[in-house]
Amino acid sequence: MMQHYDPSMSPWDARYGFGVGNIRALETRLIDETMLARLLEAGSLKDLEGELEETEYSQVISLSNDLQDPEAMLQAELKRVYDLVHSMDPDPALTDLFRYRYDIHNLKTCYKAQLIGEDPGPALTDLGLYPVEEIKRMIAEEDMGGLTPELSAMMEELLPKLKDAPDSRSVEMLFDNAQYSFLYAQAQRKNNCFLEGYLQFQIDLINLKTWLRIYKMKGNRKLLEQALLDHGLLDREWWLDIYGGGIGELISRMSYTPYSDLADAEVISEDGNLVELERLTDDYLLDYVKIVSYVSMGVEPLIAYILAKENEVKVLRILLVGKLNHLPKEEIRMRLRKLYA
Amino acid sequence: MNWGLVPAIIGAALAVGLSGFGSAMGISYPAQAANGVLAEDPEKFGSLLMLIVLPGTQGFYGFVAAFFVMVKLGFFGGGAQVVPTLSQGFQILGACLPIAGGGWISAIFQGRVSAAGVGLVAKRPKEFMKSVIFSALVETYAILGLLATILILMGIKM
Repeated sequence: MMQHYDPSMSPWDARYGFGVGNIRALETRLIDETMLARLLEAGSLKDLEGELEETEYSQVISLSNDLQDPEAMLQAELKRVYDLVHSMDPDPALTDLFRYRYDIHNLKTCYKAQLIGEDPGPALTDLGLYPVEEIKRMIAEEDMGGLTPELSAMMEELLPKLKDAPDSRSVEMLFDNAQYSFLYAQAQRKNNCFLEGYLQFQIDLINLKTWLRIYKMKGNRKLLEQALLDHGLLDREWWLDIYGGGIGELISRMSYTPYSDLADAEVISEDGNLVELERLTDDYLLDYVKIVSYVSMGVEPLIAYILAKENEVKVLRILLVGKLNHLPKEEIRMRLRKLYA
Repeated sequence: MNWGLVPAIIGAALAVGLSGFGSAMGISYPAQAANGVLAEDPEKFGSLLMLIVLPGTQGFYGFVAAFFVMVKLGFFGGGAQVVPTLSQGFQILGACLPIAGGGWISAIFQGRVSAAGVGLVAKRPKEFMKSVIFSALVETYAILGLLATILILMGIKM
């Protein structure tokens, strides 16, 4: 995999001494392949609960109602991690970006609910930095003054475009593009090459999946243009240029990009499995995150820990939902992602 | 008044001051990281202490160099027993520079290596000695600086 981020060039920021030390100790408690295999082999939910009691999830497992509601436990674990990292970060502007994503999700959900006159209810999350009620009020009154200046500017720019959006799907796409532009701008503002690189890869991989979805549903070029995100390593012209050439052209052109390994995978084909592609792209991003183990002082290990925990939560969600639905072990295993530990 | 004492004392002060400054900074890096590790895993105190202490040696080397200067000037016989000429004073100042500069810079970089070692020990305690060896490699240049300082001091004819 080609990487344009060089961890040896990361600035030495001594303010992160405590945080990095703390994170290195916490990383030893992440779920590793051995523990994952034990979780997968657990015969019953009771056994699974017993295994999870040996992990960091023991602090939040009581919320899961004997694992019948794993989502409550997973959300609580994420909230605990975000709060923990925030408490040890002397300048949380970058680590807080991961929580702003939930605020933007809540803003989007409230806006869409308002459009169709429904209550956003359970689709809202309390993982953001702003209370859900405050977000509801902001959308209802179109008053973004309570947000940070950067987030407020993003919404002020977005609101007029939203008013012209013809349907809910367009609203979704406008919010997604605004979100990634906001995250990328903040990473640039803080001059953080690691996060910039991560976002660029993430944007490209989202664009790849969008491209394939639209191509497979025989969508037109205009729809693709609307759905593509900006700020990837491959700009929107790159994706639009190859649209006419089909999947063959996509694979051929991708082999000259950092995503050549993905181009070789069989999932990128006319009848390729998009769920499998989702797994491969997650693994690709995690491989990028792992290079932060070479950074000995700075904000990067804190960001990597957040991303590692988010990945771990995703893996556990797949496993627990699979177990709850009595899926065979092999089928669950095929869907699991790589782990950071 | 013979001005030779002034550069000689400045040399001794630089040897102690700069090496001590470097050591203080060098110790602070692994110490902060070690606090973070100990917050989760207090049992690692012993191995982490070793990594924290390593960048502190340069401060001692600086003191040893200053001690040699003081011996040379006969300070321990109640005031300066040997009053150097201006030329000799500058020779002593020059002799102090290897440990002053080498100690100062090497302590800071050794602190960085030790801080990275703290991360290694946190994740793989069995690799502790490897991180100590890496950190000790940086120390080599402080030792060479001290040796150079002592040899030059011994070569100055009073």
